Amino acid sequence: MPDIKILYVEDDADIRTLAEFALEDEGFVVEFCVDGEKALHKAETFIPDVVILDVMMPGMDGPTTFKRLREMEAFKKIPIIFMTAKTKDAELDDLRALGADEIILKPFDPMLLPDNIRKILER
Amino acid sequence: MQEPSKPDDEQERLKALRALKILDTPAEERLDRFTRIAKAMFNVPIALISLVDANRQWFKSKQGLAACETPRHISFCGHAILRNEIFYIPDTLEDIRFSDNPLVLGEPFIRSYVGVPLLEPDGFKIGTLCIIDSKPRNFTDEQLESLKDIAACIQRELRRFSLVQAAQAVMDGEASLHAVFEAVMDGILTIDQEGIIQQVNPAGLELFGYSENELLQQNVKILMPAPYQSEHDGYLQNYLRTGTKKVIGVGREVLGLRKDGSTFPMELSVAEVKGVSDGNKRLFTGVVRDVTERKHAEEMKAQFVSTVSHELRTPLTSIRGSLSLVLGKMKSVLTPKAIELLEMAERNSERLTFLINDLLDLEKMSAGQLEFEFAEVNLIELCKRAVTDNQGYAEQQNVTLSFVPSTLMAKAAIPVDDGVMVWGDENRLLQVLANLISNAAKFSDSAGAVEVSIEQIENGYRVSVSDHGPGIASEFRGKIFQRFAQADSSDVHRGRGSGLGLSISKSIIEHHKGKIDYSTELGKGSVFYFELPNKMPNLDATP
Repeated sequence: MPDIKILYVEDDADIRTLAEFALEDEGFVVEFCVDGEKALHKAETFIPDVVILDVMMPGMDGPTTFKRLREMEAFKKIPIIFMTAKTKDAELDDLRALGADEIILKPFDPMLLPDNIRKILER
Repeated sequence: MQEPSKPDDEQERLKALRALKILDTPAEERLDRFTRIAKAMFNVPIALISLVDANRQWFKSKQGLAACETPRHISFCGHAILRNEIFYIPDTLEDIRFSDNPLVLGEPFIRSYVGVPLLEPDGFKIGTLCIIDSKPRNFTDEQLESLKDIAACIQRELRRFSLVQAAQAVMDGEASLHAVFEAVMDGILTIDQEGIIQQVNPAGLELFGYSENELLQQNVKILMPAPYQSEHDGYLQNYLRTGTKKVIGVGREVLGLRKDGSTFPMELSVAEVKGVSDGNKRLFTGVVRDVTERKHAEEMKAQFVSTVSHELRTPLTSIRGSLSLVLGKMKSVLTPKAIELLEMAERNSERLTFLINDLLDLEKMSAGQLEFEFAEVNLIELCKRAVTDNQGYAEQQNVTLSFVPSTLMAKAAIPVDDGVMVWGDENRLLQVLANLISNAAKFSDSAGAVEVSIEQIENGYRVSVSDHGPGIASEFRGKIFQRFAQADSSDVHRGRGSGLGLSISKSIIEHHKGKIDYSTELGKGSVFYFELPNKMPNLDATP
């Protein structure tokens, strides 16, 4: 089975490290970006199987990045997962309304992350 | 001697008499002229207007008598007010009721008496007009009729007096209402049925930035931004047509429009002005309050909670995640001691997560932001599910957890299969049960048992979670549902628990119009229960 390609956008370096450790040796190829602008730039050359997007980021935030990615032809149908520390019902509803394929709440258990991503891709 | 009895309507009669505010007031010429006429016309030494109070008769007007009152039990007028007709005693010594009366045997030596009951405006007999002589008298029917005529004039005078009093009271009331209208901090506007402003107070003018001349006779719509303008018309027309109160009496939050074009959030409540004399005109009074600052404070608080939550969760994600990864992927290279310490760190970071979640829940609840989704809930299914969901935790604590349909319920003959329906938010109720079950499991001895049961109570159902743990000392009653209350701080190490669970559960149950409480016995165990009312008969009714 070929590796699953992930575009992972997260401004917090520790959480990037966490995700890196969690996903290594599990059959994933991960490209990390520290903000929305860099992710849009990367997306021109790197077409992943799934995008993981932090919500609150300096500069371009998650929802804006989401909309800009969806405007790109190659990203029309690629699953996008939001990862957020926000918990308000209204905030989560906004993300769903935007068209998020999944929302993972922080704190998340990195040991479960590989399986969660595979499950979302199987849907 | 016969004492006068009390009339059947004595309580109301006294109330009416006192409402006249006439007792113990100075003599008045407008009434004295009638007693003077009576005295001269009937050629008697004494003529009185006597008012019969609870224990005395008091003379509002008196001719030929020095005393201002005498005790009721020896009074003639006490008898006179018991009948509708004139009360005439030609010779008191011939009448067994009065022959030994001290007023007959002593001063003023009453030998003959005629009393006409006086009626106040509502018809209660408050006293008499009476004439008294120290010798026996024979009056003709014609004479007695004349005395009644004088009494009628006095009655009219009394009625006029109470009307003047009422008018004065209205004027006083209006004056004080006007003072309130001028001084109150809220804006007050009165509009007619077309929405034309009839009246506006200084606070209202300041609120909207207009002068009085600019607002009077304008349509109230100039104080509302676009979407509310048409809504307002609709509400008003609808109310006038159907009487359906969309705005009347309800404190609604709407936007106000100032003269300078800026808007502000305001709270509006409207009341129809009742009793307007012009029958075709209907008036409405609106009270408006600028709630900009309150809204701002609410938003700040909500924002603060949201930020704190985010700021706490982000580092917590790294800590928990790291521990989970180390324990999950690198256990084989760790010493047993290191594993023990890392597991301790993991457990505690998990507790910290619960604490943050609970704090947020509590905060949302106090801000009224916690959303409830009410629907029909099958309590039996709910309990079964709570038992299944929490089985893992119970096993971890080495405790048997089971659902025991209560024997009391069998007595009340509820067919368990039909279910027991209540009106509630399933997830919130599961949260309460999870909290009660985890508390019970936490405080159970190893190999202990926790039971969940349901019973029928008056007007509803009770769900109980019982443990066989140490019980709760009585000094904690009253504290246990408070935030961060823990009966024994050394119990904290037993695992999850923020000290907020019961406080949250209480809020949730109260939001269901139910109650939560416990019974306990030291050394035997505790039963925590909550009670929910029967399902609302009207399914549309949101509690």
